[in-house]
Amino acid sequence: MTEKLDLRGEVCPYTFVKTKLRLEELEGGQDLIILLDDPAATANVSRSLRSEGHEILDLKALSDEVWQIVVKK
Amino acid sequence: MTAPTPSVDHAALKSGGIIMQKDDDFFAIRLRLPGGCIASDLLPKIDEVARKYGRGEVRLTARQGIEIPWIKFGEIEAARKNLAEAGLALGPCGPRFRTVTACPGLPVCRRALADSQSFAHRIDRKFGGLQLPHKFKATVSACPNACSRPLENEIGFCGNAEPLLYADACMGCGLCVDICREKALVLQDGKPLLDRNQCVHCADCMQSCPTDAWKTEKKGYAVYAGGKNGRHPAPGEKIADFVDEEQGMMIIARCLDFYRQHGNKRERLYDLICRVGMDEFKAAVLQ
Repeated sequence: MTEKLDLRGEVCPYTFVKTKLRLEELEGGQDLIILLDDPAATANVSRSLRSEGHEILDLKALSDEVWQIVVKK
Repeated sequence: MTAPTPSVDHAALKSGGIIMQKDDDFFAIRLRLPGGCIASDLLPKIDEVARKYGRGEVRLTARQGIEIPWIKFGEIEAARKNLAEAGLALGPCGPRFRTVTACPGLPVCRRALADSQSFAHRIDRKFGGLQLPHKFKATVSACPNACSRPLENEIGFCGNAEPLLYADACMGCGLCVDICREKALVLQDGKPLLDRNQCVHCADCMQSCPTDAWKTEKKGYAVYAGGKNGRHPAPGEKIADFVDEEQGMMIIARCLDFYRQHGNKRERLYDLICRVGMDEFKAAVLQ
C-alpha cells in the first residue's frame, strides 16, 4: 500500500524532517506520496530525497497550490 | 617625572588597524578576518587580549571584522604583538584595500554556486592593505542573491551560472517554472522555455530539477565596479560576466592600476568613474 504524507502548511526544514521520519518507518522498495503547498519546499525535499539515495518516481503540480512527489524508498 | 615614551612600531601603526577613539587616549584594534571567518580556537586569544589590554569587550564591525576597543596608547604594541603571535593580523583602515568580505558560499550554503570564501581569501592575500587614493572595498558573493552586497563595494563578485535545458531528460513537471523568481521560464509544449533577457543566472532551475535536465552552460562570477555605501550610496555597475578567478584577479589588478594612475587623493572609485566615464574605465580594466 502506498503511504501518504500531507505536508501542506509545513515550512522548511520541517518538511524535510517529517519526510525523513516517515521514510524511516517504511520498508525498502515502498512508495510514499508527499503533498506540499510550495514549489521551493517541493524542490528542497526532492533534492534532499535524491541526495539520500531515494528514487523520485513522479513529481507534479496537482493544482496551483498543491505539489505532489512520489518517492520510492 | 614624565612617563617613558612607549615603544611603537610606526610601520605597523601606519599600515592601519589601529583606530583612535573619541577619547584620544584610547584606541580600537581591528583584526583582519577575510570573509568574516576565524578559527574558533583563536577566540580565547581575542578574549585574553580584550580583557588584558581593553575592557573585556569586542565589537563586530559592519564588514565582518572584530575590533577590540579601549586599548591605551602605550599598550597598543603589546596587544598587537600578542595577537600576531597567535597569527591574528590587523585589518587595514584608511586609504587602503580593505579586508575582503564574503558570504558563506560553498560548501556551506545550499544556494551557493561558488567557493566565495576561498576566492575572498585569495583576493585579500594579494591586494589586502595596498595603499590607494581612498578606501577600496571588495567582496565575493557565491550567487546572485548577493548576500555580501557586491553592488555596494568598489569591486563586487557574484557567482552565477547560465542554464541549458537537455529536453530529453525533462519530464515536464514545471517545478522550475514555478521556482523561477524572475519569471524567465514558461512551459511550452510541456517543456520549459527560457527567456535569457529575464534570467539572472541564479541556477534555481538547475537546483530544483528532479531529473537534472538543466545543465550548466557556463559559470563564473559577474563583476560589479564602482559601488559604495555611506553618506552618498551608489550601486556598482556590472562590467563583466562569467569570469573565472584568474580573470577576476586580473580585473582587480587593472582596476587598481587605473585607480592609482587617475584617481585623486580621497576620490572614491565611483567618483573617478563618474569623472572619466565608464567607457574609459571599462576599456582600461577589461582590455
